[in-house]
Amino acid sequence: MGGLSIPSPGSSASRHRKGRARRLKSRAFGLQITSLMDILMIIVVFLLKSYGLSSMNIVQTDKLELPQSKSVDTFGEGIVLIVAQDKVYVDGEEVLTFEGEAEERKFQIPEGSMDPVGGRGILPIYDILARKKEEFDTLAARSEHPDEATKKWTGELLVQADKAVNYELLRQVMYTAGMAGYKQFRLTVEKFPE
Amino acid sequence: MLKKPSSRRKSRGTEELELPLVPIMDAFVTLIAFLLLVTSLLAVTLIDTPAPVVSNVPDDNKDKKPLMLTLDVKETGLRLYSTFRRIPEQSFPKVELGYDLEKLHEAIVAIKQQFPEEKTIVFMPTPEVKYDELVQIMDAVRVLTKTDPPLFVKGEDGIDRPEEHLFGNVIFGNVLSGN
Repeated sequence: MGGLSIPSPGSSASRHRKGRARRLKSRAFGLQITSLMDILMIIVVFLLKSYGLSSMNIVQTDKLELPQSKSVDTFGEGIVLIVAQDKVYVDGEEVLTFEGEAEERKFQIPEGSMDPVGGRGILPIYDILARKKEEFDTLAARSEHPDEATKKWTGELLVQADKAVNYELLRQVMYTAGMAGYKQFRLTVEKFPE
Repeated sequence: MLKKPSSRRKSRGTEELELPLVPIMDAFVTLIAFLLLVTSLLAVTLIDTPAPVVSNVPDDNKDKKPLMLTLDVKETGLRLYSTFRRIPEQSFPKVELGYDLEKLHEAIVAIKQQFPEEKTIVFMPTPEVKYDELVQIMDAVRVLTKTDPPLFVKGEDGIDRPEEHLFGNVIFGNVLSGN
């Protein structure tokens, strides 16, 4: 009888096929790991090069475009005030929403937000900055050495402002922060690509 | 009995050692994941500007007036002067590309050579000036470039040390006054 036939279990043909499969299975499969290791090594070196020793809290948003500067690397930590195209945030907390469309970049402060006396301080920003300072003072007073703890107040404010902000708004923000007890402004800028 | 050629080649003494690369790769992948998490691809830096303060301390050195270098930043251009007239006043009108930062930088370098101990400059911008423009102007008065002549300042021990900044301490003079 011609043609193919399915070998019955236990027959010599079946045993032959199993043996072949076993040989194929047991053959070592050589993955080219060395070249993969090279790639990984390059990635690690690149990432280590761009790894900063001190991380700064930068909000990645399309509504905030920092100006570029040639200043040398400096890092800092503290209370972060962000003036984005649409809103103002203090330590991630939304404080103020500008009037109008964000794309227009008018940075118009809503009515009633300015200090009626003098008209230069921005009340919602003042409230939250003063509250943060009070919280620090309260914690310092409760510590074992209140005098030493109070001295640790540096009054530093990290300002991250959009590059289209005009000086008028920047001055109002700095004036407000100054009134709330912040004496050192650290303008956060994007490092100019070398 | 003679050995087979394949056996002869692989004697015990020259057995190949395989480095266990798989656990090393595991460590690398973990390291990459960690670095990707913490790496900031946006390089940022800080420019310090202390708030202006009114000093009540009497000036001991009355004979020698301070430089008090001041820069007016207006929409039309820049004006550099000393409040106590220690240097001649200089104006830098706007050019096609904006503020004439090159000439301002040259003037600042010359003043720094004349007054190496001075570190402070007072900015008096008008309200309509953009923050981006202010940062560029601050760079021109603060950052010492590679093409600038070397500047030295005398340290406390009397040894000359290379200066890192031109006028590194920028103060916005009209924050409180509102002028």
